[in-house]
Amino acid sequence: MPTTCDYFITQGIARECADPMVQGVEAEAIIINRADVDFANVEFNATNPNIISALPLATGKVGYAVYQAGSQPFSGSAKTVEAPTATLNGMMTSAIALKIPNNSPEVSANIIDKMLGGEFIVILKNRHKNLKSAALPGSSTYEIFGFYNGLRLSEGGRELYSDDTNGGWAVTLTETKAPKSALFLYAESLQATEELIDTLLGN
Amino acid sequence: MTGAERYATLRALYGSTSYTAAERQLIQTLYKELLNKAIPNCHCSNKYRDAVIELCVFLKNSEEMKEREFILKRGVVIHFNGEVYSSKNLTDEVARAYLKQFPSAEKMFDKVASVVEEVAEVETPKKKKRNK
Repeated sequence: MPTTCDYFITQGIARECADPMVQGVEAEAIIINRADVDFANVEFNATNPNIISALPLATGKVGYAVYQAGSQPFSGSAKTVEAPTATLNGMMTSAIALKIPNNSPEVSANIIDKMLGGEFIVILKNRHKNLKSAALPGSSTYEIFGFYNGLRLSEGGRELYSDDTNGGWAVTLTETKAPKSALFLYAESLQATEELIDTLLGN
Repeated sequence: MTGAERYATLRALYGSTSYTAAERQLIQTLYKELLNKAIPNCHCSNKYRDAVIELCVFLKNSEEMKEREFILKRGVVIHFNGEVYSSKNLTDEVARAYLKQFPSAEKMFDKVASVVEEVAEVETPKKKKRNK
C-alpha cells in the first residue's frame, strides 16, 4: 500500500470551445439511502478514479426519483473547498438543497423524519454533459454527491408562507470532508449510464 | 410490473363482469404494453373481459412468466458482444455466456444459477463402470 500520494496536475487549463461549460442541473435526480449501496462491489473506471462505472445496490433496494420544479432546480446547492490545514489536505463540502412543496403525513413520515437521522447519496444530472469528449463522451452528465461521508440534514424547515415551497418543506443535505472534488457515474457510454440509472430507480 | 405481477393483477380482474374506469384504463395500458395494439373497438359489453382473458393466456405462455435464473444487481450494466445489458434486458442465455467468460463478475448479480458446476459437468463426463 503506498504511503504517499502525488499531487501533481497532469493537464493544462484551457478554453473549452467545442463544448463550453453550462451552468445548472436538470430537474430530475435520484436519492439513495447510503446504507443501501453495496460498497464492496462498487467499480471505478480503470483510468480515471473520479468515475464510478458500477454503483450496485443491495438486493431489493432502490433509489428514489427527485423532481424539482422551476427554472433553477436544486438552486442553493453548491460545492465548497475546505482549505488545507497545517496537518491535513484540503477537503470538499457539498450541499444539496431540496424543495418539497408538500406537507402530507406520507411526506412527513417517509421523507422528512428519515432525513432527521439518515445518510444519503444524491445523483444530479448536470446540464453540462461533456458530450464532445473524445474518450468519454457524456461523462460529466451524472454527478454523485455523498458517496464518501454521506449527505446529512444540515438545515431545513417549513416556512408557512414561503413562496419557494408554498408552505411545504425545504431542506439542505450536506456532506463534509469528502476527499475528492467530484465523482461521476459513467458506464462506458451515456446510453449505458442511462440504462444503469433506470435500474437504480427500480425500473 | 414484472410478468408475474401483471399476471396476478389480471387474474384478480378475471372474475369480474364489470370494471371501474381505473380498471378499464389499466387493462387498456397492459393490452397496449403486452400486445402492442389497442383493444378492438367492438362496442360489445364483454370487450374488457375478453381482453383480460386474452392477456392472461398471453402471459401464461410468455417468457416473462418464467423465473429468471440470473438477475443483475440494480446500479450495474454489463457490456458484452457490443451490447449493453441491465437487469431489464439480460436473458439467462446471455448471463450464462457472460459469466463463463468473466466468472468474477458473479458478485454483480443478485441471483446466479450454478454456471461453474454445469461447465465442469459437461467437461468431465463420468466414466462408465465396466461389468466384471
